Amino acid sequence: MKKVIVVDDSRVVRQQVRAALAELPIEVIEAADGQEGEATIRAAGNAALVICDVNMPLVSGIMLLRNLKADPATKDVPVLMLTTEGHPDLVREARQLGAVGWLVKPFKPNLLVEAVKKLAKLGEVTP
Amino acid sequence: MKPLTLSPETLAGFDAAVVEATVQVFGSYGLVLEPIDHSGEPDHELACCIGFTSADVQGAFLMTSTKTVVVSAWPEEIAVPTASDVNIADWFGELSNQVFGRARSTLNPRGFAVSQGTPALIYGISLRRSRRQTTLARELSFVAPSGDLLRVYLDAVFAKPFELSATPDEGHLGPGEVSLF
Repeated sequence: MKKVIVVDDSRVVRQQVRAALAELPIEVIEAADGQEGEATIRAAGNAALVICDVNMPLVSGIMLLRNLKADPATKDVPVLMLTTEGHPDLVREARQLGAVGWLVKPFKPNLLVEAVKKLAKLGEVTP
Repeated sequence: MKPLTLSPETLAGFDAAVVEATVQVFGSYGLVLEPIDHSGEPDHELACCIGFTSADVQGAFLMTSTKTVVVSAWPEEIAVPTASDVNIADWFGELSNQVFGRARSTLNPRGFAVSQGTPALIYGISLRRSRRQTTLARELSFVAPSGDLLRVYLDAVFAKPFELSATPDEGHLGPGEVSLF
């Protein structure tokens, strides 16, 4: 089963994302900040997608994205930003760093599901 | 910083952005909030403060309310907590973050471009805020169908004269929008 890692400092948001994705054949793993998220992503090894907040304590979502893309072991993990931020400069920075998408909160569950299906390549066989 | 005066048009622009953001965010979770005039200082059970800054602005967004309001705006996808004040405070922090984020998405293109910190939460009984002392000192009150109040305070000081621009820049992603690269 493909792994989707949700990194957000709000426990309720993580639960909300998990509930929205419940219909999908994926394993959802939660992390409470960027630091914990990076460790979780490395431990998972082959995450199909990371859904990541931007404004978080310890390590921000942008810093986490930068760290992942700088390491050959994690650079190919797709990262979708899920945040209240919508400033074009920030979106541009995330895109240049290698994020695969940007979704602004409050999110519509059906849009999140469709984005995850596409970005995690659900329907393709896991090697 | 020496306090500067803001025009009535700019103050009205800040008020409109905060009111729209508050009503829309809580409305998206099923709670209808009505803006009201309320000059008193009610007791609060929850307070969330988000600091913000830029080269020319320093300030804070503060939202206060009751646990009843937060539970009334609980995401329908997950079960309402029965005992955990921590979970209620967590969600109030996220709602504050979303309200301020939405207000910023309106104000940033009009020249109010600030970076925000992470939310700081306080919960307890009979919480009151201190006296306002800033150039931008907005207090906006809302009432829920239960009669409970929610209040948003927006405070800031400016290093140089500031007015919201009339024509916003383009290119900002709005709430609920998704962009796949």
